[in-house]
Amino acid sequence: MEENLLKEEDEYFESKRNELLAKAPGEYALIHGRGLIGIFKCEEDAIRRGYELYGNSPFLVKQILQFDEVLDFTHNFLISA
Amino acid sequence: MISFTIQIPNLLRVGPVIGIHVAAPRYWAEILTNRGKPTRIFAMIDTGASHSVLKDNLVAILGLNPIRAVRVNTPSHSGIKAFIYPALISISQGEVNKLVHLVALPLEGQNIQCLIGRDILRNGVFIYDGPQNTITLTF
Repeated sequence: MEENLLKEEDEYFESKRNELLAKAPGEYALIHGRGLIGIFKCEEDAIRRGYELYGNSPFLVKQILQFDEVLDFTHNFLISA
Repeated sequence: MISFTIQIPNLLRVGPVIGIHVAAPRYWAEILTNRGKPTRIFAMIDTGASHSVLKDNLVAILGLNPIRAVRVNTPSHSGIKAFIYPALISISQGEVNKLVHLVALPLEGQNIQCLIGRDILRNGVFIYDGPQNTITLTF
């Protein structure tokens, strides 16, 4: 997986995080490139819209929260990266 | 509710591993008519995993696209960058179809290509019957 995949979209989200938090906390932002395409109450609606607009081109769907979610895995199936 | 029981010889050694089909979500597959075909893979039901995982080298084969990056902590590393992929999974010959999010990570063991974690199991019932060497899933 390319390290830079969705990097532009992530940076854009980060630059707008506070603005988005004030506007629609807990909702889902759809971002493509350096543009906010829309804000959705339901994540699936955001994903569906992203596929409709961009098909095979990557787009970002991210919940508008103050801090990013961190996933914890505690078992040994995962190979050390 | 749909319920099915699978007999797994030597369940102790093999673990609760089932065959599932994975594909790009239907609405994406409609756009990409030549992609999104379901591929059969082996998945272990893992109540120790909070999120479901897909072996990272399958992402390109399945034609999945990520929707965001997340940070992942494992017993040996913290803050590993991983991507989340929406995918349609189909269990028991299409009786159960679910749109899920899979975290792409390296998985140990050639026979395990996916972990079905608690994010999927939260909608169902999982019974592990050791004496009978069977597992039962209900959704």
